[in-house]
Amino acid sequence: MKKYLYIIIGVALSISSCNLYREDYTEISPEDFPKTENDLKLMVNQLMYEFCTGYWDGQSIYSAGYDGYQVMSDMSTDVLWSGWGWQSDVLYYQQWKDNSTSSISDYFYRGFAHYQFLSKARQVIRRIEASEAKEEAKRQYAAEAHALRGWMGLYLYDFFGPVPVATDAQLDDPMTFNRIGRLSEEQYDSVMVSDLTYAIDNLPESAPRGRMTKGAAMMILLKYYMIRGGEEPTGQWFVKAEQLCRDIIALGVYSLQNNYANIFSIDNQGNSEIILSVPCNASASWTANYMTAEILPSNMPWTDKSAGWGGYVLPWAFYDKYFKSNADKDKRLSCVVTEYTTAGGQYIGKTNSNQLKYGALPLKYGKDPNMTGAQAGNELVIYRYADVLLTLAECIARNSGVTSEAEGYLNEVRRRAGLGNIMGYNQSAFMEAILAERGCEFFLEGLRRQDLIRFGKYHTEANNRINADNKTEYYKVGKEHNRFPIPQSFIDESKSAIKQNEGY
Amino acid sequence: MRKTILTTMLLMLTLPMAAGITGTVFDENKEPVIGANIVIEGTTTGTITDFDGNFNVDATAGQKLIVSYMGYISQTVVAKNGLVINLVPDSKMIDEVVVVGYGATKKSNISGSVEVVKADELPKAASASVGEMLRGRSAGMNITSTSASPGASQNISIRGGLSGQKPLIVIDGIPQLQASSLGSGTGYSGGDKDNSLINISPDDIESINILKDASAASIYGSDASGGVILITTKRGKEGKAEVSYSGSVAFQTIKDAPEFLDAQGFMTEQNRVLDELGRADEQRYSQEQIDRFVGRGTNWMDKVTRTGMVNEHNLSVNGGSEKTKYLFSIGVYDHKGIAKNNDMNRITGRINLDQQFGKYVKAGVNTSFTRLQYNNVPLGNSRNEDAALIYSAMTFNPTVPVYNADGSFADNPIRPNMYPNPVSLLEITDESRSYDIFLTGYLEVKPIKDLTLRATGGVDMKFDESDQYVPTTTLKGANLGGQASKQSRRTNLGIITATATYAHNWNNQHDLSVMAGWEWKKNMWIGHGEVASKFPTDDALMHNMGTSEAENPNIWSSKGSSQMASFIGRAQYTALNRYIVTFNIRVDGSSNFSKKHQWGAFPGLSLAWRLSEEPFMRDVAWLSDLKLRGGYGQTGNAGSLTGINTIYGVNRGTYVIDGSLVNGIGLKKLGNPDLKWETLSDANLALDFGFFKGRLSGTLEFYQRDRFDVILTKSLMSYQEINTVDYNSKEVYRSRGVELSLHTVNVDTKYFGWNSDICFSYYRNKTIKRDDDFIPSTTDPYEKDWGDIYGYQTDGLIQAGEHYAHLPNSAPGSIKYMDVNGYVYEDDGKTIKRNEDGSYMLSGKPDGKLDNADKVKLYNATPIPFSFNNTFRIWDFDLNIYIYGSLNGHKQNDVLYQSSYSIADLTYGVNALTAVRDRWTYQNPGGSLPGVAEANSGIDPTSSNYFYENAWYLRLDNISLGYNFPAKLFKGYVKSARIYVAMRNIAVITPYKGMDPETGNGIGAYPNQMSGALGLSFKF
Repeated sequence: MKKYLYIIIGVALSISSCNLYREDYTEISPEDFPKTENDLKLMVNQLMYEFCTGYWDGQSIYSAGYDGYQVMSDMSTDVLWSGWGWQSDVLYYQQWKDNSTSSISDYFYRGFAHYQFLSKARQVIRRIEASEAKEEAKRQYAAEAHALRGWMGLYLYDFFGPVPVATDAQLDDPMTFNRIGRLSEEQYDSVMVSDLTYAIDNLPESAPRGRMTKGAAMMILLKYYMIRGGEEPTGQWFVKAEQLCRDIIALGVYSLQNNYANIFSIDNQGNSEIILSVPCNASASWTANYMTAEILPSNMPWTDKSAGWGGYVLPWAFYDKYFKSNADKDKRLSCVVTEYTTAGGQYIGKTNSNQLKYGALPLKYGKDPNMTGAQAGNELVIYRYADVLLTLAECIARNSGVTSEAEGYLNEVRRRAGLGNIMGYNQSAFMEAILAERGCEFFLEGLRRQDLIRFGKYHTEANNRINADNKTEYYKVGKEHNRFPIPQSFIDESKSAIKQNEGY
Repeated sequence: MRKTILTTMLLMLTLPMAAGITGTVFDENKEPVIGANIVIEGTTTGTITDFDGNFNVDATAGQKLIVSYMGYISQTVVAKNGLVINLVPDSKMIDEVVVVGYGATKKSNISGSVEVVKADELPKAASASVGEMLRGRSAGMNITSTSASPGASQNISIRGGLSGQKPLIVIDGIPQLQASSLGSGTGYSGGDKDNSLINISPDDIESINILKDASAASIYGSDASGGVILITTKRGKEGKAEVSYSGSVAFQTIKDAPEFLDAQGFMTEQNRVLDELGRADEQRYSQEQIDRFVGRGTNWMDKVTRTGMVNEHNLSVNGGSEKTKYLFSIGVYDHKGIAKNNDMNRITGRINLDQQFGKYVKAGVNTSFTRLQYNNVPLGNSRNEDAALIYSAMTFNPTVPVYNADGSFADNPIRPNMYPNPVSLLEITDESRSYDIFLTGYLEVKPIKDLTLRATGGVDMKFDESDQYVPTTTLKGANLGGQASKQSRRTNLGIITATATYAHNWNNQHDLSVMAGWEWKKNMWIGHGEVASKFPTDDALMHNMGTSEAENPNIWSSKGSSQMASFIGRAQYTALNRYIVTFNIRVDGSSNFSKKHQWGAFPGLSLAWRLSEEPFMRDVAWLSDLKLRGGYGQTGNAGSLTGINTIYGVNRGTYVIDGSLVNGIGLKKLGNPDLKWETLSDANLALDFGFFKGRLSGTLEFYQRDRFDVILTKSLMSYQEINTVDYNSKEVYRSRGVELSLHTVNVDTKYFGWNSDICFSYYRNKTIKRDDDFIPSTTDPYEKDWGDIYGYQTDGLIQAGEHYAHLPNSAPGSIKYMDVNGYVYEDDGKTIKRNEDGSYMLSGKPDGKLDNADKVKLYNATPIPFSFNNTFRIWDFDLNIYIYGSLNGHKQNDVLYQSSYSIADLTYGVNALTAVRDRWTYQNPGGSLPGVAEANSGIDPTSSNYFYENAWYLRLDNISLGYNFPAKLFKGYVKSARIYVAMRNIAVITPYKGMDPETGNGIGAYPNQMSGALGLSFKF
């Protein structure tokens, strides 16, 4: 019956020559895109969005909020804290188990959800390969997409360990619910190595600030090797890492800045020390640098139009332990404020500020004279050359013991900071010195968590803080904290194909 | 109808008249009846009564005169001079013609659920939109204003709003475009505006018919799942030109402004809060400073508000000859809102023409033009850079003056450059304009008796503009170097309809009407906008945007269109005036769906039985009307779907390369070509009744509606590049409800009359069926009532010395959330056991943890709309008292929540309600509000019942007193004249302590206002 009705309607329609047609010029059809070289660039640009400094939507892994990579990595260690109370305490004392009332589980959720990026990047690579653009352009943008995939792969591994990675066949059939589990460590290694090797082989040594380079891809692979080395000290990871450090140095592109504060200065963006950065643009809310605003007290004179939120601090415990004895020498303290005077002439210090009570102000990015509101324009430094030098020193020491070459790389960084050379330390003292140096050198840069994990101190230091601050209400943490828990919703979605990290 | 008869009769005035029998005709109220028909029996000779009810008919004494008047029982009297005839109303005779979509039918023949509202019975003073006037006027149509700002949008939901769609508004047969407000593209928003009913001047409306059930609404098919509102505008009438004027002026004052701390109170509380936070060393004010403070500080609310004023004037002229009839009208409505700089201005114009060509052909045009102009102020819930005027005035530091000594706006010294000075926000220029041009024409041919062919064509064109400039004297403007925005959008609806209607009545026994038709419709939208900043000067406002030095001005433009073709049909048959059957069908094709699902059929069938017309009931004296009706129908919803295509989308400024923003393009949406219509099916059972000669009449209706094939977005595996897709779910939503409307004539004497109308409706919306893979939870059971609010129960505040394992971060003064339940775990102690349906197993016992297991159903907030209207007539005075509201409601007191939960913001210089003085402290353990510790509890109080309040309300919406000047007074030069005073929104009876229970939504809600109005109307 219905069929006849439709036939009648069909006839009536053709009589009235009425073709139902919908148009929307803002929709870009897969028939028209991607085609040209510029299309490839636009697709790769889109991938970069997830690396923005971000707004507070959890989309951006370099957000300056509690869920940002650098903040989570530093605030769960001794190097960063906040005067804002309990949410930052959950991070600072690593109280993320059994804490159903805090937002920490949201941060884990947002973090893990980025595993989707591996699919996005894979699909972009396939579209690039299938496009009709010139081979050279295809290679260049595919390499960039591979590098971005490696970067996100590192982020995911850093937080959670291996994550599930879909096959091309699974990506081509989105309507089917394929429940896939996590890769094994070895499988994940091969994904990371193949992505980054392709990137290293095909990326240029220098590129406009913000685009991926050969050095950046090498640096990402280096960070991955270092994590793996910490996990499997008997593996060849530190040997590979040592070689990679030498390769980066051999590029001849990077060097230390003479003045530590200058690395982060708005006037010195893209300087030779920076290997990978997230460039900022204060005119758009999602690409501004908010790290300064997170730290800057609201009543501290800064720029005419700036507004500070007054939260994050470098805890006094860290300051007293590592900086205090060299307070007059260490040039890195030019980036740390311990007291100030308000515009009205009031002295603000440890005793009358709810922020300075907790720690000093790591105002590392310095003053952007155009900072308006909370938005500054300083590029966010992700990885830099000093890290390569210190990593090389560490790898040499691990692989061949403390050599003068290793001491040389460490001292190169110390000298820039205005500190004296370290000579003749035994293996363990040298390693301690490396870790201490990394803490003082890279505070606020989000490297502390993995450094402590590699040295086996991430959880023990948390327990030390709990003890020192007499936080009896908090549970003592264990080695399982080296990886974050995988949010239950992803395990449920996979029907338990995804296995939880040990200890959760 | 009565008036149509009147005009026909007026014609007869031209008949030759000789001196004969004189007399006077009165109605049941002893008022003279104008235009009653006097005919000499057996002849065509006759006359009609004049303005005083007098007649003079060329008859001789002894002849029989038939006196008739529409709606009254005809009388036959013997002619003699000085006749006095008292007409008795015939309640059975009152039979209006009701527009039901693509045609009209007699009210008595209606079998579906169709509500009729007479526009001239609605109080108009200080109401811009007929939507405001319709609040509570129809059982089953719930209208609430989202905000009290001038021209704010309204939620109109017919029968519970199960479909999630707005009702379709059809003006003179042409559906109106449904468009959303055009935003400014910046952080500042003047709030959502009414975009539909406000475009029509209430003065132009003759009647409003509401198709509530699907058996009636299915004639509008896939557009009608939200119900249909049919508006018929006034048309010209045969006779001399009649000029009507109505106008009013109203003054408005704030009614529900919450009370915030004054300067001394602010300083004291800030010190106290710092003390309570253990940060007394940061205190800013010494007791001496506080005591010495002169005055109450700045009352920011006073600085940004004023007395509002509404001015309206409407003028219309109508008239015509037998062949040509015309009506034209113009109207002006001007509203100066209670927030400074917040204005609305509307100009409307209308021309309706009807022309008869010969015997068979008739044609006409309806055109209307509306220009709406707003001066907006920023509204919303922000107090930071993009601060809203009202919220910012509520919370800005009261110790600060408006201006610094140098004339610049003063800042909050505690957090400079953070919260803009509220008065500075008045410097923002924010204008929006909207033009609506509505052009329709029709051609009607009656080639043979009983057959009517009609073609209608029309366009509804809307043009919206939004202009904004944020000057450098504001915080945001200073940060951006001034920000300008210009947005514009044109939307266009074109429609062609052709129908053929055959209607015949056989011996007054069988009444048949059959209609078939075809319709084609196209929607088109086109728009563009730009937002830029960094201007050399504020002087040019947004009118010289080329001077912008902004790096990344935000630009957009778009265009699109969709089409729909439809076949429509209706058959209505009435036997013996008492057995009625109506069948509607519409077959819609929409371009929004893929080829294989492009068409959908929407039938509707209804039956009615007029018991009062049965021979055995006809003599029951106390029964004047009784009709039993039942119907079933379907409507659809194509929505504004774009879900069938896989598309890429652009992301502007996705990343920064070399310091500059670059765009990105990525896959945006995964298409689902299997998408088809949502369907709403609707069963209706009703009883219309009238007792005691119409002294008590009304309608009782029961309905059940089901919405299925609901278009939802489902998650695909989370690792997929696009991990959501639109699909037709298996979920079924159901609404069941009952509606009662009652009309009573309480007192009806010559000098005093009292009529009442009561509307009441009760409904519940539920989800009754789920997708197969649905997993229930404590807050989302398989079957869920939409009005249910879930959350934690609370038990007052934690007192000193109390500790609760499930509230590890709470301290004395925190809210005592209750741990009432827990999960059951597997042996590993980590995995929660599941029930057979997949839901987590609950132990039923407290487990020392506060989690979703502890959330319970707190309230059901489904409104129970109620209204009570009273009209009194005392000599020539009329008095109206109107109350509407909801007999049920639960609402969070947002302002109190914000002040209380964010009490620590006082230390930043953010003001709080005076009510926060009664917070918990060690010195005030009996305080009713949580102390400073609550903010660290890690629990969001809005997920509990703590700040919920009972929010049923009754609003005394209108008291108006009018005086109708007796027509005699003007010796026929003025046909009628009325003067009235009205008070609007006089009082709200409610247990809710927040801002207005209807419009007080969010933290910085626009305060509601009381109006006093004086109005005048006359016709000549």
